[in-house]
Amino acid sequence: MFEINDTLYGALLMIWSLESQYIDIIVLSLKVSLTALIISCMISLPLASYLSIKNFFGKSLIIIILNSFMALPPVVVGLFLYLLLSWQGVLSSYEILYTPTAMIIAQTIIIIPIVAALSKESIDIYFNKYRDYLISLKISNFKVMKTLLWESRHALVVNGLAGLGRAFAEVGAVIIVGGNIAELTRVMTTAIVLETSRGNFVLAMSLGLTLIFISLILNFSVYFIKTADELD
Amino acid sequence: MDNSIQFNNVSYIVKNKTIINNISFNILEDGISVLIGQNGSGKTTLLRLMAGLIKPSKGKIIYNNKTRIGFVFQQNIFLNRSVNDNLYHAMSCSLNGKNKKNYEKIIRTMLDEFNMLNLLKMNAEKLSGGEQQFISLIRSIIINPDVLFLDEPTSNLDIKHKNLAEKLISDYSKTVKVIMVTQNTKQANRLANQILSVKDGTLSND
Repeated sequence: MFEINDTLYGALLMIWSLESQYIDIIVLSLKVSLTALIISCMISLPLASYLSIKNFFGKSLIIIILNSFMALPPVVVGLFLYLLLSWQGVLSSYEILYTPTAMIIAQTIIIIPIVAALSKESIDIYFNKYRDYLISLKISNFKVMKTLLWESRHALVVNGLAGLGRAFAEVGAVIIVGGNIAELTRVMTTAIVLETSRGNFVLAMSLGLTLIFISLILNFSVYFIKTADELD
Repeated sequence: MDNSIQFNNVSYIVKNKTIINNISFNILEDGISVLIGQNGSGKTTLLRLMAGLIKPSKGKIIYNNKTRIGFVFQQNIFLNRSVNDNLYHAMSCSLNGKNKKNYEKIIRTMLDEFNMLNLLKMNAEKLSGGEQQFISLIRSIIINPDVLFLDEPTSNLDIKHKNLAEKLISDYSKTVKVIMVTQNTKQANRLANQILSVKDGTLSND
């Protein structure tokens, strides 16, 4: 008990003093996860809206795959990506293994099914509601998708935050393709794993508390957006 | 613009239930055509088929695909935005332009004409049923349609606005083809150049 109290006290001091070692890890985590989120949204949202409004051969298969991949094990993503990026892999020439870029790719792959599958469900609701009106306007698919994305924006932000939460908490893939290199690819989760194994509980705890704090902020944001949406 | 609509042996079947049963007829190119019939007779389905919102299960509907259509739905459909934004959205989508100032001027003029300018900034989804129906009518005509589809467009309106809406429809029918669904026989007789009586998914001579 004494040790936990000491660790907590030390962790809070570290957070308060904003030590560069701690800040660097937080900044890199934010950079990697937010970039992965932006890229995954740029792919997922058009995909989700297209799946909502169009019927085509293979659509059900794509939806089943997306839903299944929502629970994609990060270590498996990491393994496949490692095999592709390592010196024997087909993408080895890009030389991005053990770089933040590889971590961003891994997190993007993990987030895409989550954001796309959840967003398709959200957009479906709005398309069912506005279908007749939008068809009567005889507008292009692009304009229909644009209208639906705007109308469902609150739900989509919530879905994005769900993806971001998953990215922040993910450790398996980024440790495989990032390598957990100090000041280069060390993010919050991988640092917690390493520092715990080293017995440096203060840094591990400060990062853990920060991770919980970020998670709380995300969940508060989701709550407020949902509440605002219901009141709208 | 050719606004005629021709139905050739058209059927519409959903989950083995025949809603429209082997119908053939022509819609007059001008004036007001009214579909009349009881609840569940298939009037709304016929209107949706004519507008291209749904496709027939059998048969063929021949119409000019390039016509711009305005539609007043039985259940009003509005984006969760202000009246101004709803009208602006319809205009910017249908008229393929982005002259925002001009559109907003037209919207204000149109609402002012019907003493509804006070609704401009209000959320369209939060309006009363009657207000929604009238705004829906305005939205359908503000895009300069070639054909106007109206599904019971005056069912929620008070007498004053019903008369106003009928006058508006009548005036517009001089330049725009109007196809309307109603259960009100007197209204049909007042407005129609062509009356189609729908019963159990077919046209009847009643």
